[in-house]
Amino acid sequence: MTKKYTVVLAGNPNCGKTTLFNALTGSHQHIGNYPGVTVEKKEGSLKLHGASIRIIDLPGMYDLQAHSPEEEVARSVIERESPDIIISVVDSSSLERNLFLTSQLMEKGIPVLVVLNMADTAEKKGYVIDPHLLSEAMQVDIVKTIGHKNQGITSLKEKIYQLCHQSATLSPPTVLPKSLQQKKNISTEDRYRIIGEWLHSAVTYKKKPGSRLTEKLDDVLTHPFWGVVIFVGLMYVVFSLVFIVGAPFMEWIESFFSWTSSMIVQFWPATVYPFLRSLLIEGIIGGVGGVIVFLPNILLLFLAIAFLEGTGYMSRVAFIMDGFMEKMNLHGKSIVPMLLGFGCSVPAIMATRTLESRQERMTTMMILPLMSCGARLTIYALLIPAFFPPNLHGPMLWLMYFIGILVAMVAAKILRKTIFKGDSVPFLIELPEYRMPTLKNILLEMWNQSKEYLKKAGSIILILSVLLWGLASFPKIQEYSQDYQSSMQLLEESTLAESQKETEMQSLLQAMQEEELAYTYAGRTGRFLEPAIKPLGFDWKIGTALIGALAAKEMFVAQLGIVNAVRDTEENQVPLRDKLRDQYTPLVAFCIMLFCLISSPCVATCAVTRRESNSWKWALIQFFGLTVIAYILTLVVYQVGSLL
Amino acid sequence: MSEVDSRRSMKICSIHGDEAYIRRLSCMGILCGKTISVLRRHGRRGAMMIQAGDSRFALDVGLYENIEVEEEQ
Repeated sequence: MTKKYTVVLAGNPNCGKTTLFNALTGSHQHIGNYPGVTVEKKEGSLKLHGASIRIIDLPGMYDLQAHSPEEEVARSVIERESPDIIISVVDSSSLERNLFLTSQLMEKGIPVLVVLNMADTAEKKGYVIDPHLLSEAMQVDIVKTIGHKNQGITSLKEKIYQLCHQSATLSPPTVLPKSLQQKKNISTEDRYRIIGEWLHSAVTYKKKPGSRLTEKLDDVLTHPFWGVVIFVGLMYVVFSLVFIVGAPFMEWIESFFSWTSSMIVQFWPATVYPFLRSLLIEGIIGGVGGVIVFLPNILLLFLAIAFLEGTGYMSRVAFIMDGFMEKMNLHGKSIVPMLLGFGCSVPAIMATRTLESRQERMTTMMILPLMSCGARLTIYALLIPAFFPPNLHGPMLWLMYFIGILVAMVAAKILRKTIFKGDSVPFLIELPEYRMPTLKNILLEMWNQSKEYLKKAGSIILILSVLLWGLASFPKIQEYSQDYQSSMQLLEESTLAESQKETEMQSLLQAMQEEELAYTYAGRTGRFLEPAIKPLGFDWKIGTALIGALAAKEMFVAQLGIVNAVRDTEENQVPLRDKLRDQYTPLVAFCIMLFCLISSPCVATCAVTRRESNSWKWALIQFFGLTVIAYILTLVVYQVGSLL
Repeated sequence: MSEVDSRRSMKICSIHGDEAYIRRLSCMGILCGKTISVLRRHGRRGAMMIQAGDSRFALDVGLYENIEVEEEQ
């Protein structure tokens, strides 16, 4: 019978814990969540000498006794899982601070294995650590590793197995010297004194001359002026990378789905199970394709973010942008989720977990959908070229992003003064040493995040795409206002010129499709909504497309194509643009973009808001609150614009 | 610490304010008796970057105005 063990990995943030976790578990890890908690832990497995070892990677933390979400998770995991051993990962280049947490873990009554990670960084700094002496002083087993170079991993695995195997007979470590054993709570000063005693004989320091990369980079990257300039420039590079480099990959995916659809059309006759055929082509391929098309952007964005995070730069961004964020009554750390929001609101909302104050976290979460996400770009890409001259394309796009940030700033200020009022949590963040992250780790991080995006958003979007397809397809019209078939036949037999015949045939077909759509549930809802959206300059067709945008913003374009009875929208972008230009004014186009920018976020975002806030209330407030703001602003813009 | 200029090393003589933050600072290695260096500050009341031991931290006025420092002996 396979022996099963549970091991917990704990340590300060930035001590290389995740690198070790990946090295130990390989590709077996998966991301899980504890119900009711807000911070992620990772789980993986290690098979060794016939034993199955479950490895739980706790969130990075400094202290076991505080009450931030990370510490809550750590305590909960240690208490609920009753691990066989705790692995305390420490950054060897900052031993004193890292061993503070180790000393707390050693009081849990569970055998502890200390991993002296980043041994190379410690050596570079001039530290010489004798692991045997340290092990003797601490009375625990110690293994030395360099996680990012995969050094010491085999010894670590063997030691884990050995300790797991002996865990039942091992006695838990003791932190307290006899003089302090009577004390109920050991003070911070005493704890540091004990750590000092451990380190006294085991660590020597020889100052090494030479360049200190972190100091030199920080001189430039955290400069009050140049730091901001470099940050803005870097973000420009990231967005360019995401949208320019991603474009050809998006086209390939689009072509693939078009090809798949055309193959089905070719080999599946329209008369054989027409319902299933339509569901597959328009509902499933259309829905899933709509999401997967944006996968290159998402992958590239997470690649860039993983690289910047891996280098240690993101903490510096929080530092240089703290003043700006303070003006929005937000925390310096809020900048990271906000930047992620330009890619997709789903991972951005998940990234708010790093914020300690619930008020600041909730405020950031509520305003995040105002950061113009990648899906909204498809709406801008359709409408801006259709209604504005080429010299205004760039400025119009920037205007949309700017409006989003401006509304977010005002909304954050209002929320922090009303619903989420309360003092700001003081800003305190560790600025880790700059490092060159390994390609393997960046790719793993990118894939983990993207997988989450596909899993969470993709499933919801797929279901709702099918639902929206159903709404836009049923009920089927029984009686048309005119006999289109006879009209088409008469036209076919007429002596008109071929080009004129084709134009008129197209008009008849479009009129028929419009009538079919108007009869469906989506069409009826659009007409039902029309009186409410007319003051914004929108007609029932736009209303129907707005319903489509509820599932995912990019579905607005597809839905607008359907309601305008233009087939194969993606292949015929120009006709759709021409058609829109014939029906609407630039003011209406601007109002559509404004409304789509500010109004209710997509269903996936609402679902993540619900999960992260642990309440439907906030997801609904976000949904309806943003829609009301969008309605009022669009109404003002349209009505004032109409007067000019 | 509000008055300390960049590039100066000082010794922490007391930290007052919320107990939770004193504890948070302590477990990060910022506690009485420790020497810290101010590496960068963004204005008189802006965020500050400090070096404490082998680690660098950014903290805002809400924290550093509660930290009292003295010249190193």
